[in-house]
Amino acid sequence: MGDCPSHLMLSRLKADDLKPAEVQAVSSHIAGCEVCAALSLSMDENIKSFESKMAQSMAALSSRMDDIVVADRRRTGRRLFAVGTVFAAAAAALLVFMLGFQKQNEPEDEGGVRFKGGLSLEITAARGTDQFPVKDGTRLREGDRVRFSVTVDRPGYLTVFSVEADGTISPFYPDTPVDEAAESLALDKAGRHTLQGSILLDNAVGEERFWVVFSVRPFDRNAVMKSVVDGSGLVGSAGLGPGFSVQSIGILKGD
Amino acid sequence: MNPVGIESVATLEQRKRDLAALHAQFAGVLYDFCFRLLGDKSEAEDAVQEVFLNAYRSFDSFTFGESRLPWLYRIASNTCFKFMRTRRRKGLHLIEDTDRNAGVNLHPADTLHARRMLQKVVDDLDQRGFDILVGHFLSGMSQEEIGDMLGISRRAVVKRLAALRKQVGLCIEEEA
Repeated sequence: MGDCPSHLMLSRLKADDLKPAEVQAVSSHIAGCEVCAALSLSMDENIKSFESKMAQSMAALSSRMDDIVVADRRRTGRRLFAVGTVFAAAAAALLVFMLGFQKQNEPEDEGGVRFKGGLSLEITAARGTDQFPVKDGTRLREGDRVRFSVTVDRPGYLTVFSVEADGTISPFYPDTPVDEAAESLALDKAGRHTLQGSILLDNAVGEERFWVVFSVRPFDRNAVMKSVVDGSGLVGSAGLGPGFSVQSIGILKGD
Repeated sequence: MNPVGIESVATLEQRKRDLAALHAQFAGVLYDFCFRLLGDKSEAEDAVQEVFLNAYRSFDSFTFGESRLPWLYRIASNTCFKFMRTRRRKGLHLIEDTDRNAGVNLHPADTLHARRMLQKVVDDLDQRGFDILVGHFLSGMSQEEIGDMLGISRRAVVKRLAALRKQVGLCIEEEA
C-alpha cells in the first residue's frame, strides 16, 4: 500500500481536480495496481449512483441556502430594531398604549398557509426501494427507515420523539439524549418542512407512537416529552396547556 | 459561522454560483466519501447536503490553495462525525453492505473494517482525532496530506496518532 494514492487523490482524479502530470502518475498507478483499480471501480459505482440525484440535490441545496439568508437577515433586523427602541422607548410606549401592540409571535402570512390546528404530521417509511406513507396502525419492522415532514402555519419551535408501550422515550429532533437538557428545534417559516435524516427502526416489538409538539415559543423539550408521556393517550393538547399543538401517529412494530 | 444577512445581494448570488460549481464538480466524490464512512445511502445523501451548506456558511474560512477538495473533505469528515455520534446516541443499527471481494487485498477505503472501527470509537474521540483517524485509517492519506487538510504540521499529526493509539487502543500501522 506504500505507493498507493490516498482516497483523496483518487477523488481528485475522478473530479478532474489534478494537474496533467498528476493525472498521468495516478492513472498509471491504477492501471498497474489491483488494489487501487478495485477501489477506483467501487468509487465509480458510488459516484454513478449519486449522479441521478445531482439535480435534485442541488435544487434542495439552493432552497436551503436561501433559507439561511432569510434567517440571518431576520436576526439582523431584530437586533437593529432592539437598538432603535431604546432611544424611542417613550414614544413607542405611548403608541403601543394607544394602538395596541403587535405581538412578536403573530403569525406571518407565508404564502397564505392556514389550516385548522396549525400543525400536521406526515411520516414516510422506506423499506428497501419501496416507500409508503405511515398512518395510525401501520405495521413496520426492524430495518425500516422513517422520515418526518411537518406542516405548520407559522414559524415556531417543535420537537419530535417516540414513546414505546413500556414508556421508553426516543428523542429524534432535537436528538440529544433524554437525560440531557434540550431546547426545541426552530422552524423559521410556515409551510412544509421535511426533517433532515431518517430514523432506522430497531428490533423492539409492539406499539410505538411518534409525537410532534409545536409552539410559537421555544420550550423545554424534556418537560414537554414528560408531559406527553404522563398524559399518554390524549391526542390534542396532551396536557400541555394552551400554546401547544400536538400530533401523533401510532405504529405496530414486528412481523 | 459567518452571518450572511447583511452582505450584498451580488455577493450572495456569487457565493451561490460558486457553491453550485463546487457541487457540480465534487458532490459525487463527497457522496462516495460519506457513504464509505456512514454505510447508508440516505444518510450519505443527507451528509452531502450538510457538507455544502456548511461550506456555504464558512466560505470565508477557505484559504485558496491548489484544490478545494481537502477543505471539503474536512467539512465532510466533521459532518460524518456528527452523524455517527447521533447514530450512536440513538442506538441505531448501522446498515452495512457486504464486504466487496472479501479476502482480497483491498485499499483501506474499500473495506468495512475502518468504518466499523470508527463507529465503535466515535464517542471516545474529539473532532480532530476523528479527522486524523479517518484520514489515516480509511482514506490512506499520508501524514502530510492529513496535516494539509487540517491545517496542522505533519509532526502534530504524528504526535496525535500516537496519542490516539493509546486512547482508543487501536493497532494503527506506522507509516512506512
